[in-house]
Amino acid sequence: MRSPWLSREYEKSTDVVVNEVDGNYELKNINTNASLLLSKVEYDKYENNLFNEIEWEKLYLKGLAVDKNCDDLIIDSSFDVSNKKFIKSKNVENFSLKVGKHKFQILINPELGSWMALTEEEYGKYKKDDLTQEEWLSLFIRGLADDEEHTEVDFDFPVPADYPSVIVVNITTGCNLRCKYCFADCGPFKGENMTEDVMDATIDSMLSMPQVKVITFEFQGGEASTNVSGMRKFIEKVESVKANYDKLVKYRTEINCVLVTDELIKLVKDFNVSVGVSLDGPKEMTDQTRVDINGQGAFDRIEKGIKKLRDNGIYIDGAVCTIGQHNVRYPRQLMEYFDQIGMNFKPRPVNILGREKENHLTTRPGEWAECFKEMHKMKDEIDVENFSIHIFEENVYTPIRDYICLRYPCGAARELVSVNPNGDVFPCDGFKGEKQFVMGNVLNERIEDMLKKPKIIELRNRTAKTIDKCSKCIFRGMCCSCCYSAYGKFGDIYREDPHCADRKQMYIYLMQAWIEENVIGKEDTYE
Amino acid sequence: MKKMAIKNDIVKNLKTKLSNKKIKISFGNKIGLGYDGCGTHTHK
Repeated sequence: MRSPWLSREYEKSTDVVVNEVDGNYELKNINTNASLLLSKVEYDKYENNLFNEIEWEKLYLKGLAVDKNCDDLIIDSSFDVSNKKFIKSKNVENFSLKVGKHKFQILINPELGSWMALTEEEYGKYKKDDLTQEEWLSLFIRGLADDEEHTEVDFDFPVPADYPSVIVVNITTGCNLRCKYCFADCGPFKGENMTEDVMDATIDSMLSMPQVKVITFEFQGGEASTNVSGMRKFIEKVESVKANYDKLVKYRTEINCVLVTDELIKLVKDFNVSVGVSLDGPKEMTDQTRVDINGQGAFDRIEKGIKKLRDNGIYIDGAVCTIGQHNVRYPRQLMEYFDQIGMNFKPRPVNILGREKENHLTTRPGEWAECFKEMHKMKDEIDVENFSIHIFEENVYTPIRDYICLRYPCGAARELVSVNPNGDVFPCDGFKGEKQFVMGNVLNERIEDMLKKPKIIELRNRTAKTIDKCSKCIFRGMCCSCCYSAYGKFGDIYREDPHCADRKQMYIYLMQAWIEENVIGKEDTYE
Repeated sequence: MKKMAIKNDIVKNLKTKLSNKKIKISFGNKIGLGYDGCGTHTHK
């Protein structure tokens, strides 16, 4: 039985002594008297730190090993695993998984996204209720078994926020590029800049937000760098009033780097503005999609802009790398390129909104999954942080769900809102070109009040249960249909993610990858 | 640029309480915030 879910870094406890008993070895906690008898083979593994995570867990839950990263383990004297009556859970599903020539059965709790890999032999024992109490306990604490005595398992993990801490401030809807897949349909010769009354109302509304201690104003557009004076005006307004509110304030901007002026650099430095960029890989890829009004690729200008930022000592947090027909077949080149320029990046497929509806650049079924898998296979070989790998690994391997676009309910109108130059507020940045998703206008009402509208409450409670296909999916506990992507593809936010089939492949692949690396070693290859 | 030293299959600071009626597993760390509008996803 093996699972990364709830895995910790274990080590021996200094409170444990070892006594040899008739050729076996007794581990005993000198404080609690808890003990466990190990065979010679088991003891050799223990002594040489060769236990796997489930074997360590067996010791840990008896107080016979410790977690390197947390010493907060409380075992009540009333707890006795031998008295538990564990049974199979109706909430658990299973499927077979091949990794190389090895075959496993995966037990999965679709609600939690927890899972355990069992060998065929172990699965046979599971089916016959023939597991040891410790094995049942490992399943039980992952929500993969029940207890007839109704012992409760409480997973106390952070829950989605009630009030937004980030607002995307679309300081202009104008742009100096006309990218072929722009979901907001922005471009030159159109657009408006944010007015001061909208700035004032937005700032007051966000700085008055209940519960939230840190507010991030993220400047986007259009292209935020075409309205630096607007950004400066906005920030200066925040700075002049923030002392009246009990909030910590942060700024960031997402720019295309085509127009990096001295004025922009000064602003970034003056107010410690974090900077992210949009870049689709090397010139031959970026120039296909990130183009100006004449269809001219912007790569050379972007490269100059990045250099100018760096020459001025500005660190770039990372790049959004939009994946589509222009780059999906070149995962190695993408990883190598971002490694070469020393920039962490987040690849993600083109969303089907705005100009993408005319240009059809998004990935075809299976392409995003293949691209992801190839990038994942080279993650240890190429020294660049690929945020998408991190996000998906975290969701498959742990109970943590802190990426708000891959968690039910998602962060739309929870952690995040977006405001347009005219004051219209949207639940997510992805909706900023879609009038029907306007929550209200900051000139007329506070964002806090907009969150209480029935339509917004409904959106805030959009879970897998509200989406037919997701409600039946065994991966729903580690996934989320992106609301604006679903809307773009199907005209309905209560549909599955457009890349649903790719996602399933990615989850299965990540399970295989973990098993291959941690269970069967690297000598086997995928089939 | 520095690649973050993150092992994505290990959860740090998991608090555990075992009693006869209830098993509680809590996450003791704060989490970061990631969203699809930006190129970053930094936490831990």
